[in-house]
Amino acid sequence: MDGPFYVDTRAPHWAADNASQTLSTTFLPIVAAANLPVLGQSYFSYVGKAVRMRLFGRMTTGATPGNGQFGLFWGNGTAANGTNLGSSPATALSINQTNTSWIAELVIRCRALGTSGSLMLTGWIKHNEATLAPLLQIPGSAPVATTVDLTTTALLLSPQYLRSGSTAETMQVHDMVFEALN
Amino acid sequence: MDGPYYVDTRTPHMSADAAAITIIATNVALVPLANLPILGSNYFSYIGKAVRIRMFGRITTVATPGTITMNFLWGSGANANGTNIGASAAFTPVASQTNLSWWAEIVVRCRALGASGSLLTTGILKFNESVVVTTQLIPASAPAPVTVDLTAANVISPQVLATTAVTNTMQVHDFNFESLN
Repeated sequence: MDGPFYVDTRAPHWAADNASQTLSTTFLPIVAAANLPVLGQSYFSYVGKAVRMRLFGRMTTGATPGNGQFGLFWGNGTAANGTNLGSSPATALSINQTNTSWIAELVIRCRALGTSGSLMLTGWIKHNEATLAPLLQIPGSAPVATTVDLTTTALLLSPQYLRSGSTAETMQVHDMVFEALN
Repeated sequence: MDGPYYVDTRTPHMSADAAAITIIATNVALVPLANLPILGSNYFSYIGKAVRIRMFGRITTVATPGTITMNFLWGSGANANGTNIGASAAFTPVASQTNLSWWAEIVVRCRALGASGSLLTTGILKFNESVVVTTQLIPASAPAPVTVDLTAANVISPQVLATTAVTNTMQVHDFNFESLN
Protein backbone atom coordinates (compact mmCIF):
# COMPACT_ATOMS: atom_id res chain seq x y z
CA MET A 1 0.00 0.00 0.00
CA ASP A 2 2.67 2.43 -1.13
CA GLY A 3 0.54 4.29 -3.61
CA PRO A 4 -2.11 4.07 -6.28
CA PHE A 5 -0.60 1.23 -8.31
CA TYR A 6 -2.04 -1.65 -6.33
CA VAL A 7 -2.05 -5.16 -7.71
CA ASP A 8 -5.38 -6.86 -8.32
CA THR A 9 -6.49 -10.07 -9.93
CA ARG A 10 -8.93 -10.38 -12.79
CA ALA A 11 -11.88 -12.72 -13.05
CA PRO A 12 -12.62 -15.41 -14.05
CA HIS A 13 -11.29 -16.99 -10.88
CA TRP A 14 -11.29 -20.61 -11.88
CA ALA A 15 -13.67 -23.03 -10.20
CA ALA A 16 -12.62 -26.06 -12.23
CA ASP A 17 -9.78 -27.38 -14.37
CA ASN A 18 -9.46 -26.16 -17.92
CA ALA A 19 -10.17 -28.92 -20.44
CA SER A 20 -7.20 -30.96 -21.59
CA GLN A 21 -5.74 -30.03 -24.99
CA THR A 22 -4.25 -32.58 -27.39
CA LEU A 23 -1.19 -30.91 -28.86
CA SER A 24 -0.23 -30.52 -32.48
CA THR A 25 2.65 -29.23 -34.59
CA THR A 26 1.05 -25.80 -34.63
CA PHE A 27 0.16 -23.62 -31.68
CA LEU A 28 -3.08 -24.56 -29.93
CA PRO A 29 -4.66 -22.75 -26.97
CA ILE A 30 -4.18 -24.47 -23.62
CA VAL A 31 -6.67 -22.16 -21.89
CA ALA A 32 -10.19 -21.76 -23.25
CA ALA A 33 -11.20 -18.20 -24.09
CA ALA A 34 -13.97 -18.44 -21.50
CA ASN A 35 -11.31 -18.91 -18.81
CA LEU A 36 -9.36 -15.80 -19.80
CA PRO A 37 -10.17 -12.20 -18.90
CA VAL A 38 -11.36 -10.20 -21.89
CA LEU A 39 -9.27 -7.08 -21.69
CA GLY A 40 -11.34 -4.77 -23.83
CA GLN A 41 -10.43 -2.08 -26.30
CA SER A 42 -7.34 -0.07 -25.34
CA TYR A 43 -6.97 -1.99 -22.08
CA PHE A 44 -3.30 -1.09 -22.18
CA SER A 45 -4.15 2.57 -21.71
CA TYR A 46 -0.77 3.97 -20.70
CA VAL A 47 2.82 3.14 -21.45
CA GLY A 48 4.18 0.98 -18.64
CA LYS A 49 0.92 -0.76 -17.78
CA ALA A 50 1.64 -4.42 -17.09
CA VAL A 51 -0.06 -7.68 -16.23
CA ARG A 52 1.29 -10.93 -14.77
CA MET A 53 0.04 -14.42 -15.59
CA ARG A 54 0.79 -17.57 -13.62
CA LEU A 55 -0.25 -20.97 -14.95
CA PHE A 56 0.04 -24.42 -13.38
CA GLY A 57 -0.80 -27.58 -15.25
CA ARG A 58 0.03 -31.13 -16.22
CA MET A 59 1.46 -32.72 -19.35
CA THR A 60 1.49 -36.21 -20.81
CA THR A 61 3.87 -37.26 -23.58
CA GLY A 62 3.86 -40.23 -25.94
CA ALA A 63 6.59 -42.10 -27.75
CA THR A 64 7.66 -39.34 -30.14
CA PRO A 65 6.84 -35.94 -28.65
CA GLY A 66 9.68 -34.05 -30.33
CA ASN A 67 10.24 -30.52 -29.06
CA GLY A 68 7.81 -28.53 -26.94
CA GLN A 69 7.32 -24.79 -27.23
CA PHE A 70 5.19 -22.34 -25.25
CA GLY A 71 3.87 -19.15 -26.84
CA LEU A 72 1.61 -16.29 -25.78
CA PHE A 73 -0.71 -14.82 -28.40
CA TRP A 74 -2.43 -11.45 -28.51
CA GLY A 75 -5.56 -12.47 -30.36
CA ASN A 76 -9.02 -13.94 -30.06
CA GLY A 77 -7.91 -17.05 -28.20
CA THR A 78 -8.32 -19.57 -31.02
CA ALA A 79 -5.46 -21.62 -32.42
CA ALA A 80 -2.49 -19.46 -33.41
CA ASN A 81 -4.79 -16.47 -33.87
CA GLY A 82 -3.28 -13.04 -33.59
CA THR A 83 0.30 -12.10 -32.84
CA ASN A 84 2.76 -14.27 -30.94
CA LEU A 85 4.31 -12.00 -28.32
CA GLY A 86 7.07 -14.46 -27.50
CA SER A 87 7.95 -18.13 -27.20
CA SER A 88 10.11 -20.41 -25.17
CA PRO A 89 12.90 -22.12 -27.12
CA ALA A 90 11.81 -25.35 -28.81
CA THR A 91 13.21 -27.96 -26.43
CA ALA A 92 13.09 -31.74 -26.44
CA LEU A 93 10.39 -33.39 -24.35
CA SER A 94 11.01 -36.73 -22.63
CA ILE A 95 8.98 -39.62 -23.95
CA ASN A 96 6.16 -41.43 -22.19
CA GLN A 97 5.68 -39.16 -19.18
CA THR A 98 2.24 -39.14 -17.58
CA ASN A 99 0.55 -36.20 -15.88
CA THR A 100 3.77 -34.43 -14.89
CA SER A 101 3.36 -30.90 -13.59
CA TRP A 102 4.58 -27.62 -15.09
CA ILE A 103 4.41 -23.97 -14.06
CA ALA A 104 4.82 -20.73 -16.02
CA GLU A 105 4.94 -17.07 -15.08
CA LEU A 106 4.77 -14.19 -17.55
CA VAL A 107 4.81 -10.40 -17.37
CA ILE A 108 3.40 -8.43 -20.30
CA ARG A 109 4.11 -4.70 -20.32
CA CYS A 110 2.91 -2.00 -22.69
CA ARG A 111 5.69 -0.15 -24.50
CA ALA A 112 3.61 1.92 -26.93
CA LEU A 113 -0.09 2.75 -27.36
CA GLY A 114 -2.69 2.64 -30.09
CA THR A 115 -2.91 0.87 -33.41
CA SER A 116 0.86 0.62 -33.58
CA GLY A 117 1.20 -0.26 -29.95
CA SER A 118 3.67 -2.70 -28.56
CA LEU A 119 3.83 -5.28 -25.79
CA MET A 120 6.93 -6.69 -24.12
CA LEU A 121 6.69 -10.29 -22.91
CA THR A 122 9.15 -11.76 -20.42
CA GLY A 123 8.79 -14.90 -18.35
CA TRP A 124 9.67 -18.51 -17.77
CA ILE A 125 8.26 -22.01 -17.84
CA LYS A 126 9.41 -24.90 -15.66
CA HIS A 127 8.37 -28.49 -16.30
CA ASN A 128 8.71 -31.43 -13.98
CA GLU A 129 12.28 -32.40 -14.75
CA ALA A 130 11.25 -35.89 -15.77
CA THR A 131 9.61 -34.26 -18.80
CA LEU A 132 11.94 -31.33 -19.52
CA ALA A 133 14.81 -30.45 -17.22
CA PRO A 134 15.90 -26.87 -17.88
CA LEU A 135 13.97 -23.83 -16.81
CA LEU A 136 13.13 -22.06 -20.06
CA GLN A 137 13.10 -18.30 -20.26
CA ILE A 138 10.49 -16.68 -22.47
CA PRO A 139 11.95 -15.64 -24.78
CA GLY A 140 15.10 -17.72 -24.65
CA SER A 141 17.17 -14.83 -25.99
CA ALA A 142 16.98 -11.28 -27.28
CA PRO A 143 13.79 -10.06 -25.56
CA VAL A 144 12.10 -7.42 -27.66
CA ALA A 145 8.73 -5.70 -27.72
CA THR A 146 6.23 -6.81 -30.37
CA THR A 147 4.11 -4.39 -32.38
CA VAL A 148 0.38 -5.03 -32.02
CA ASP A 149 -2.87 -3.15 -32.43
CA LEU A 150 -3.98 -2.31 -28.89
CA THR A 151 -7.22 -0.66 -30.05
CA THR A 152 -8.94 -3.82 -31.27
CA THR A 153 -11.88 -4.86 -29.13
CA ALA A 154 -12.08 -7.92 -26.93
CA LEU A 155 -8.66 -9.38 -27.42
CA LEU A 156 -7.04 -11.86 -25.06
CA LEU A 157 -3.62 -12.94 -23.93
CA SER A 158 -3.82 -16.59 -24.96
CA PRO A 159 -1.28 -19.17 -23.71
CA GLN A 160 -0.62 -21.73 -26.46
CA TYR A 161 1.68 -24.69 -26.95
CA LEU A 162 2.98 -26.88 -29.76
CA ARG A 163 5.09 -29.98 -30.05
CA SER A 164 7.03 -31.03 -33.11
CA GLY A 165 6.48 -34.79 -32.74
CA SER A 166 3.71 -37.04 -33.83
CA THR A 167 2.12 -38.70 -30.81
CA ALA A 168 -0.87 -37.71 -28.68
CA GLU A 169 0.75 -35.35 -26.21
CA THR A 170 -1.69 -33.52 -23.96
CA MET A 171 -1.59 -30.51 -21.68
CA GLN A 172 -4.09 -29.36 -19.11
CA VAL A 173 -4.10 -26.17 -17.06
CA HIS A 174 -5.41 -26.51 -13.52
CA ASP A 175 -5.00 -23.00 -12.22
CA MET A 176 -4.35 -19.52 -13.55
CA VAL A 177 -3.74 -16.23 -11.75
CA PHE A 178 -4.08 -13.07 -13.83
CA GLU A 179 -2.93 -9.88 -12.11
CA ALA A 180 -2.98 -6.28 -13.17
CA LEU A 181 0.30 -4.89 -11.83
CA ASN A 182 -0.57 -1.20 -12.03
CA MET B 1 -5.75 -1.79 -10.57
CA ASP B 2 -8.41 -3.11 -12.86
CA GLY B 3 -11.22 -3.75 -10.43
CA PRO B 4 -12.38 -5.03 -7.07
CA TYR B 5 -10.12 -8.07 -6.65
CA TYR B 6 -7.13 -6.30 -5.16
CA VAL B 7 -4.21 -8.28 -3.78
CA ASP B 8 -3.27 -7.61 -0.17
CA THR B 9 -0.97 -9.19 2.37
CA ARG B 10 -2.06 -10.63 5.69
CA THR B 11 -0.42 -10.07 9.05
CA PRO B 12 1.67 -11.12 10.86
CA HIS B 13 4.43 -9.58 8.76
CA MET B 14 7.49 -11.44 10.03
CA SER B 15 9.96 -9.25 11.86
CA ALA B 16 12.33 -12.02 12.97
CA ASP B 17 13.42 -15.42 11.74
CA ALA B 18 11.29 -18.43 12.62
CA ALA B 19 13.07 -20.88 14.86
CA ALA B 20 14.96 -23.63 13.08
CA ILE B 21 13.26 -27.02 13.13
CA THR B 22 14.72 -30.49 13.03
CA ILE B 23 13.19 -32.73 10.39
CA ILE B 24 11.89 -36.07 11.66
CA ALA B 25 9.76 -38.88 10.31
CA THR B 26 6.50 -37.02 10.86
CA ASN B 27 5.47 -33.58 9.71
CA VAL B 28 6.97 -30.66 11.64
CA ALA B 29 5.73 -27.11 11.17
CA LEU B 30 8.23 -24.84 9.43
CA VAL B 31 6.43 -21.70 10.55
CA PRO B 32 5.08 -21.29 14.11
CA LEU B 33 1.38 -20.62 14.49
CA ALA B 34 2.20 -17.14 15.78
CA ASN B 35 3.68 -16.32 12.38
CA LEU B 36 0.69 -17.56 10.37
CA PRO B 37 -2.51 -15.66 9.61
CA ILE B 38 -5.54 -17.25 11.29
CA LEU B 39 -8.00 -17.38 8.46
CA GLY B 40 -11.21 -17.84 10.41
CA SER B 41 -14.18 -20.04 9.74
CA ASN B 42 -15.37 -19.90 6.12
CA TYR B 43 -12.47 -17.67 5.08
CA PHE B 44 -12.76 -19.30 1.67
CA SER B 45 -16.17 -17.81 1.16
CA TYR B 46 -16.59 -18.16 -2.58
CA ILE B 47 -15.41 -20.60 -5.20
CA GLY B 48 -12.32 -19.24 -6.88
CA LYS B 49 -10.98 -17.37 -3.85
CA ALA B 50 -7.22 -17.82 -3.67
CA VAL B 51 -4.17 -17.00 -1.58
CA ARG B 52 -0.45 -17.01 -2.37
CA ILE B 53 2.31 -17.96 0.08
CA ARG B 54 5.99 -17.26 -0.46
CA MET B 55 8.71 -18.51 1.87
CA PHE B 56 12.46 -18.12 1.89
CA GLY B 57 14.69 -20.13 4.18
CA ARG B 58 17.81 -22.18 4.76
CA ILE B 59 18.61 -25.86 5.12
CA THR B 60 21.46 -27.76 6.73
CA THR B 61 21.90 -31.46 6.00
CA VAL B 62 23.60 -34.25 7.90
CA ALA B 63 25.89 -37.00 6.63
CA THR B 64 23.01 -39.36 5.81
CA PRO B 65 20.22 -36.95 4.97
CA GLY B 66 17.59 -39.39 3.71
CA THR B 67 14.73 -37.81 1.81
CA ILE B 68 12.53 -34.81 2.57
CA THR B 69 8.97 -33.93 1.59
CA MET B 70 7.39 -30.49 1.91
CA ASN B 71 3.70 -30.49 2.73
CA PHE B 72 1.02 -27.88 3.28
CA LEU B 73 -1.47 -28.86 5.97
CA TRP B 74 -4.94 -27.38 6.46
CA GLY B 75 -5.19 -27.63 10.23
CA SER B 76 -4.36 -26.08 13.57
CA GLY B 77 -0.74 -25.34 12.71
CA ALA B 78 0.52 -27.94 15.19
CA ASN B 79 2.93 -30.57 13.97
CA ALA B 80 1.26 -33.08 11.67
CA ASN B 81 -2.20 -31.69 12.38
CA GLY B 82 -4.82 -31.49 9.64
CA THR B 83 -5.22 -32.47 6.01
CA ASN B 84 -2.37 -32.42 3.52
CA ILE B 85 -3.54 -30.16 0.69
CA GLY B 86 -0.30 -30.09 -1.29
CA ALA B 87 2.95 -32.02 -1.25
CA SER B 88 6.21 -32.12 -3.14
CA ALA B 89 7.65 -35.43 -4.19
CA ALA B 90 10.18 -36.87 -1.76
CA PHE B 91 13.58 -35.49 -2.74
CA THR B 92 17.09 -36.42 -1.64
CA PRO B 93 19.32 -33.56 -0.53
CA VAL B 94 23.09 -33.65 -0.78
CA ALA B 95 24.78 -34.60 2.48
CA SER B 96 26.60 -32.25 4.82
CA GLN B 97 25.52 -28.91 3.37
CA THR B 98 25.31 -25.91 5.67
CA ASN B 99 22.86 -23.01 5.65
CA LEU B 100 21.95 -23.22 1.97
CA SER B 101 18.98 -21.20 0.82
CA TRP B 102 15.64 -22.35 -0.54
CA TRP B 103 12.52 -20.64 -1.77
CA ALA B 104 8.93 -21.75 -2.26
CA GLU B 105 5.79 -20.19 -3.67
CA ILE B 106 2.33 -21.73 -3.73
CA VAL B 107 -1.19 -20.70 -4.68
CA VAL B 108 -4.14 -22.24 -2.83
CA ARG B 109 -7.53 -21.83 -4.49
CA CYS B 110 -10.99 -22.79 -3.27
CA ARG B 111 -12.84 -25.22 -5.54
CA ALA B 112 -15.84 -26.00 -3.28
CA LEU B 113 -17.32 -24.48 -0.12
CA GLY B 114 -18.41 -25.57 3.33
CA ALA B 115 -17.81 -28.66 5.42
CA SER B 116 -17.08 -30.65 2.28
CA GLY B 117 -15.11 -27.89 0.66
CA SER B 118 -12.00 -28.34 -1.42
CA LEU B 119 -8.71 -26.58 -2.02
CA LEU B 120 -6.32 -26.86 -4.97
CA THR B 121 -2.65 -26.23 -4.14
CA THR B 122 -0.04 -25.62 -6.85
CA GLY B 123 3.46 -24.27 -6.54
CA ILE B 124 7.22 -24.53 -6.79
CA LEU B 125 10.08 -25.24 -4.39
CA LYS B 126 13.67 -24.44 -5.34
CA PHE B 127 16.81 -25.07 -3.33
CA ASN B 128 20.35 -23.87 -3.76
CA GLU B 129 21.53 -26.45 -6.26
CA SER B 130 24.42 -27.47 -4.03
CA VAL B 131 21.86 -29.21 -1.82
CA VAL B 132 19.00 -30.14 -4.19
CA VAL B 133 19.54 -29.86 -7.93
CA THR B 134 16.07 -30.55 -9.23
CA THR B 135 13.28 -28.03 -8.97
CA GLN B 136 10.33 -29.46 -7.06
CA LEU B 137 6.82 -28.74 -8.31
CA ILE B 138 3.94 -29.03 -5.87
CA PRO B 139 2.50 -31.44 -6.71
CA ALA B 140 5.02 -33.13 -9.01
CA SER B 141 2.22 -34.69 -11.04
CA ALA B 142 -1.54 -34.90 -11.42
CA PRO B 143 -2.70 -31.76 -9.56
CA ALA B 144 -6.10 -32.24 -7.95
CA PRO B 145 -8.18 -30.47 -5.30
CA VAL B 146 -8.35 -31.97 -1.81
CA THR B 147 -11.56 -32.18 0.23
CA VAL B 148 -11.38 -30.27 3.53
CA ASP B 149 -13.72 -28.67 6.05
CA LEU B 150 -13.64 -24.98 5.20
CA THR B 151 -15.93 -24.12 8.12
CA ALA B 152 -13.03 -24.75 10.51
CA ALA B 153 -10.92 -21.77 11.63
CA ASN B 154 -7.72 -23.30 10.33
CA VAL B 155 -4.39 -22.16 8.96
CA ILE B 156 -2.31 -23.26 5.99
CA SER B 157 0.76 -24.69 7.68
CA PRO B 158 3.96 -25.44 5.72
CA GLN B 159 5.52 -28.59 7.15
CA VAL B 160 8.30 -31.04 6.28
CA LEU B 161 9.03 -34.66 7.05
CA ALA B 162 11.78 -37.17 6.42
CA THR B 163 11.46 -40.78 5.39
CA THR B 164 13.65 -41.73 8.32
CA ALA B 165 14.25 -39.87 11.57
CA VAL B 166 17.26 -37.95 10.39
CA THR B 167 18.32 -34.60 11.71
CA ASN B 168 18.47 -32.19 8.84
CA THR B 169 17.35 -28.72 9.87
CA MET B 170 15.35 -26.05 8.08
CA GLN B 171 14.55 -22.47 8.99
CA VAL B 172 12.22 -19.89 7.48
CA HIS B 173 13.54 -16.35 7.29
CA ASP B 174 10.70 -14.68 5.49
CA PHE B 175 7.06 -15.50 4.91
CA ASN B 176 4.62 -13.57 2.75
CA PHE B 177 0.89 -14.32 2.67
CA GLU B 178 -1.29 -12.62 0.06
CA SER B 179 -4.99 -12.73 -0.53
CA LEU B 180 -5.41 -12.76 -4.32
CA ASN B 181 -9.08 -11.80 -4.57
